[in-house]
Amino acid sequence: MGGKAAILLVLGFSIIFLVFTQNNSRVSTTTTQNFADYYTVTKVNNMAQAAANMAAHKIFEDNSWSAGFPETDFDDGTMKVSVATAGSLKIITSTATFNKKSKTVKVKLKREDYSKYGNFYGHVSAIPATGDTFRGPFHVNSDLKTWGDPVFMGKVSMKGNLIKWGPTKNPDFQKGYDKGVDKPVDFDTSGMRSFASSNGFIFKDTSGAGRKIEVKMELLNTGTEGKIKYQYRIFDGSPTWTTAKTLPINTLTPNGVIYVEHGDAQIKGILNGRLTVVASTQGNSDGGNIYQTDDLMYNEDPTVDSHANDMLGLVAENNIRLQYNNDTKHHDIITQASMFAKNGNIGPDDALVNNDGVLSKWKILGGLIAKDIRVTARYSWSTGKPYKGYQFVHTYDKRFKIKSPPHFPQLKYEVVSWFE
Amino acid sequence: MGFSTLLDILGSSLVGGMLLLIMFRLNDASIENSYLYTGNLLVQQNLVSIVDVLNHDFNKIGYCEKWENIPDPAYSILSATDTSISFLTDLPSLSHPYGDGIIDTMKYFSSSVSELTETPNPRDRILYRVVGNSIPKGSNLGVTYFKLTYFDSAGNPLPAPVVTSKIRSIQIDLKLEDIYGYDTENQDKSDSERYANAVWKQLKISSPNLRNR
Repeated sequence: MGGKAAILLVLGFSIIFLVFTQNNSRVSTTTTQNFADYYTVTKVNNMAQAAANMAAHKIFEDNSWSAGFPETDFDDGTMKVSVATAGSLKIITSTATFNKKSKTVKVKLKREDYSKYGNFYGHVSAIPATGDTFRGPFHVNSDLKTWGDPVFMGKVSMKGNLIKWGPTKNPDFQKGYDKGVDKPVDFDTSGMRSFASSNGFIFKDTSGAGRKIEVKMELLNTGTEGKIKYQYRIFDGSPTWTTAKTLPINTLTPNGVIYVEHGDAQIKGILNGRLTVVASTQGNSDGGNIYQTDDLMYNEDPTVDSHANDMLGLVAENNIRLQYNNDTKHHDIITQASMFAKNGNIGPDDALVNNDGVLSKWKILGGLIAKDIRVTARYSWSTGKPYKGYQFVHTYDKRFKIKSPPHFPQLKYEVVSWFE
Repeated sequence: MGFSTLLDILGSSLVGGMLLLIMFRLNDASIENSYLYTGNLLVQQNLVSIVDVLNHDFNKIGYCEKWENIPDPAYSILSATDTSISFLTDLPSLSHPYGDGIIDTMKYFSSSVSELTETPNPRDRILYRVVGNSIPKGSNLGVTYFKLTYFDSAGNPLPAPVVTSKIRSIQIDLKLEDIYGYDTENQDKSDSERYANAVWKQLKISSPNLRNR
């Protein structure tokens, strides 16, 4: 009787322990499965990102690349990348599969506009210093040297290193900075000439002799449409200005590009519309300069109305200058444009740097892209402040973050959107 | 003979009793192990679920299907503290798997421990994920520690109050515990013995959209 009870007791506990053991085994297996699932998800995510990065790198190297990658074995799984074009965008779709799980990463790329930059230089000979504030994205294709505590409101990138000088080495990068970013200026204006030729306007020596030309332009706002008054002269020994002509901008240049072939351009006025003016050397040693002869403004102020459409680009193969004349000297000057001086710099004429001993302001709304920085004023050794010339007052045009003047020069592709 | 029988009975009672006590103790230990293992499994499953959602959302900080709607991704983080963050994003949906191009606002923050007093675990709190202006809702998955640390582009930690435009990467520290535990009133045991727990730390999660443009 007792023996039977003992046997029953043992059997009962054995059944209970069997159930517990099975439960523990299941829990142990499920825990391992949980870990394995997490590993799989992480790995397939990394594979898809890696494939997207490889495709993006191909596009960075070759703007025209769109072959994608066919389905390929990759890190014990598979990956596949396709590249599509939608307007000005290239879209990379990267799909990776591992252990029956799939992940898709979608990346959009767009050609980066130079006009996006508040400041873009090949190198910076005038070192940003305490009291200087730079607005908009800032890039330099060399080391970035700073003195003291300059403030950079936009994202900063540099090809070389950050070198801090001064008693307080504390530059303020409001949006951080990246080193080792190389953005070589490797474009020429022949592409812009093609745009001007097809649906824009080209000023040139039509005799075929290739002589230098000088063009005067005044932008006029009639209220309903923007117009341009222009005249030019050819340097044929006795250059004479032609009779001034006035046309709607859209009539003269439907696509908004005016190209001065082997010559200089003078410009001033109020822009109602979108325009890019290019001054080229056409391989000669002269020409390729743009001179601002008085205020250059938009009809609609974008700092008041962010939806304003007026947009101006100035592209010079050499320099962009504020010209010394009766309209500019001793006065504050306004420039509303994105300015690009490919082989030179942007700033006042030498005479305006002295400005006859008067200190004025140069108020810029837009961006400056140049080989180097130009001095704009003379500074007192004792106070460190400017006392004659032009004080640089720069406001970044935020519209340039997503828009640009017509056919403004572009860099390589950049990522504008990354979905994973 | 009667005496030896008595001895037999006494001996067997003693052995039987000891056997019974051993069985009961074994039973107790099995139940405790079962609770702890199951609790551990639940904690780890909850952790993987939360991590999945965090990765899904944090990788989309500053993302929008229509990229022009966020012209400067550096400003897409609206506020950032060590226990909360709010940012702009574009949430995918069934009808729009890559987002609909309309900017959404998302906020993560953890509640105080006083919001969850019904569970035995005194440290558990709700991790809220709020989209837009909806009423904060959350479920108790056993989060006991949720901390965010922010870093600039050079990898330097950003001090409070954080300048959100300088954020380039975020470290997330997360700890989950079993909300019920086992033998929770036994003060001789440590918290980790009473409540199964798991820790996850994501070093430098960085939304690709924070770095571009």
